[in-house]
Amino acid sequence: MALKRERGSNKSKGLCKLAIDEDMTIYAIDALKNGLSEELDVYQRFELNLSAVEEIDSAGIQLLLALRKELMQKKKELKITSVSGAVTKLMESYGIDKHFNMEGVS
Amino acid sequence: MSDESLQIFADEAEDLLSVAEQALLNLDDLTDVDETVGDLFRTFHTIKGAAGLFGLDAIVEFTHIVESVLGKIREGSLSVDEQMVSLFLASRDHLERLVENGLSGAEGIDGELKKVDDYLVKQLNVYLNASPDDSEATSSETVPTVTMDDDGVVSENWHISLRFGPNALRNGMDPASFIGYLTKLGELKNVTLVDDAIPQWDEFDPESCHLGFEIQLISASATKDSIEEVFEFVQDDCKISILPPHSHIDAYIKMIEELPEEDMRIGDILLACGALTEREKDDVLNAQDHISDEVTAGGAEKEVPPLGKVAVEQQVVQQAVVDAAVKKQSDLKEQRVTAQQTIRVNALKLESLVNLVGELVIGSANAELNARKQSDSVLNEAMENLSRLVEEVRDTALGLRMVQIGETFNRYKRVVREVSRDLGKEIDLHISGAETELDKTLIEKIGDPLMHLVRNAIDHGIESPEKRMEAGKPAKGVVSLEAFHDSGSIVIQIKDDGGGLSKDKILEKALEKGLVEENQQLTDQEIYRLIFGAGFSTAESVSNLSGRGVGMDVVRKNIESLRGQVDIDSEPGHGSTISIRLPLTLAIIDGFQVRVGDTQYIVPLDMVDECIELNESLRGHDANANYVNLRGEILPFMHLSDMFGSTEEVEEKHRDNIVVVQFAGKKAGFVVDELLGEHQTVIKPLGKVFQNLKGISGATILGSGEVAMIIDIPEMVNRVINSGQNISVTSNSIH
Repeated sequence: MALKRERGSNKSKGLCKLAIDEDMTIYAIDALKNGLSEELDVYQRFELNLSAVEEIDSAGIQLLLALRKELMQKKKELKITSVSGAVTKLMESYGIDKHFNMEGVS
Repeated sequence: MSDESLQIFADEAEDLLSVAEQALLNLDDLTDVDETVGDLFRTFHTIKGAAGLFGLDAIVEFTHIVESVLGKIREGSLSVDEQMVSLFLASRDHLERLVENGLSGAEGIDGELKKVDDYLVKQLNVYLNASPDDSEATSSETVPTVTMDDDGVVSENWHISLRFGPNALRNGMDPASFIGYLTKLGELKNVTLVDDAIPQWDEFDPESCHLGFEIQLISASATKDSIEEVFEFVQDDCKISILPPHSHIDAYIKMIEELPEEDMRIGDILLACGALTEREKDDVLNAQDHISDEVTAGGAEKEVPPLGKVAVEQQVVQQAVVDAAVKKQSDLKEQRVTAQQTIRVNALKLESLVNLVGELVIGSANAELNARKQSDSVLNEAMENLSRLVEEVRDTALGLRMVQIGETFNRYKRVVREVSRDLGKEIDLHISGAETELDKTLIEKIGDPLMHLVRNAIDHGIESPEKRMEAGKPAKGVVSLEAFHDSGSIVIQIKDDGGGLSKDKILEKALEKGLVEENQQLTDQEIYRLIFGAGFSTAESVSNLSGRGVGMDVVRKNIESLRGQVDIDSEPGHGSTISIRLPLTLAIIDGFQVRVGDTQYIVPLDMVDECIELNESLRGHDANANYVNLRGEILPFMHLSDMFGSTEEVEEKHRDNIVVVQFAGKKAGFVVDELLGEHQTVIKPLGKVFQNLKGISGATILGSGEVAMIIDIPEMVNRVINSGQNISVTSNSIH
């Protein structure tokens, strides 16, 4: 499973730390969406660790945008704590790096 | 442009400006700011567009600046404060004058108007962070206001607009690779990802592509063909628009029209990615309004479906999106249809219609009378049908002139806002009965007196917040405006929850002015009514609003000239209520016909409560008493024959009838010789000679051609009640 719940997640505090450690491409995208769907209703705040994503394509970006849209609508928080080079590169070339809360990401 | 269409523009502008005023006042509450600012933006935008059509450059330039400030608020780079709302309100007023100026056919603006214009432009520019010199440039005529005629956009870059089809990703066509490939042709100045089409999470299929891009490409060598080649493989799965540098603005219009997102949104995206300048964006959107106007006018049914269909065929957008777009358009169409349901009619035409209907009513009464004499049942039946129709025609014709009072009430919101701010008071205006209908002429004439009363309530009625706190009331005062129908008249009430009227102060002042004598016994009502006397004011401080002692008497005279009445009630510490009572219609009424002696009279039917026979059991022992016991209530009455001096011999079998009328909660009876029944009454004003005649409010022509007087019920009711009081006082003094 490409989506892992990290230590530090806390149901009572509503914080969910997730890490994606596989490719975020069209081939894996359905599984990723289903995995995220399971967590969405349970938690209030989400922290996403994308440092282990070796490959990402437009489907992956689209998933992130859809997630952001959904969480914004539900007034929930999304923070990206860490990104890999591949993710940064695509985000920048799409000009959407500013769209996400990526505080502390170097 | 003809004067007529200019007039239409002025009327529309007037409507839009009043909408803008409402929106601005809403803005004051600081709720739904986004939506309101959006509304305002569109309103000013529409005015600007229309003014441009008429070549009213002064309006276009001024509106443009206002719009730019609003645009900044919408973007979020400015936030609304009170000062800004005041500035917008001032700008709105200025626009009103500019429209008037344009209507008068003046070429440019000069004198006072120019001064105001310059001042406001300067103030607005403060928000735009532009120096005054820039503003000169903006408002000078060297800047073309409509650029769509010959020139292209400023941008030197290629603009590429992409909307990928749902299957692009599944087919292995990743947008990223195409965009990456574009870098081989030149430098990517800006890539803006448009994610508006991504559906809700639950409906979101991550394998479908919902992405769109607006791209600015810097390239000296690229050609349209070479860019098209990049997207060769994705052509079937993607909707592509490629615009060369300095493209004609029409090309942008066409592109925006074809994109699924809302026009405004696209405009903003294009602005953000540098494809268009602010001015160009406005022009594009502006021009688009006109185009879609024409399209709708030319046959909306034909236009709408193909546009959507084409989009689906090319698989640019999902069916759902198309449905939404089509719905958006048909909503717009529906709005237009509603707008068409009202038509503007010249007031003179309406007036002559009402006059004709009046003659028709008299004519049909005449015909009915003669038909009855023929005792031909078929003819009578036909007549009956006819008079029913005439009655309906009458009601409809009169209804044409009726307007809801709400709009007039809403105008006072602004007055309350500004006046209360000037005075340092906090006041809310509550409105109820806004849908009450009133004759248009009445509404126009009642405006000024109402304004005066509202100002009075704010100035004299509501106390300062500190005083209110001391008195244990909420710091925020309430002024309420109410309208409702009540037995044939319409009542407008102005209430405040302020300190109320001070009886002592009024009396003191009245004594000083010699309006009353010392030791004179007055009821509370009578004391309050004193403030309607000429030159009467109790305000301790004269403000620039009120307190100078002209006013209340003018208000009273204005209202009385409309055959209305004004009354005041007050409770110390809890506020006062001023009630204005106006007749419902001015032209034709349902009347109740009675006979006294040889003469016939009309009593307005709405005011008639009941008719009873005046017999011994009712009258009691005293044959000269001027009151009867009506089911336990005292009903004062008078003989109309005494009043109007008729001299008929009383016959043996004669029986008297009392017509019981009601006005403003008071009841009185009139003794008449015969009840003749309902009669449609066309009110004819009396000539100047009879204008001061008491007890008669007008005349009408009966079916027989005879003239009948219309009894002035309010006046008569007061007379009956007062004469009763006088007599009882005298009888008391005898005993």
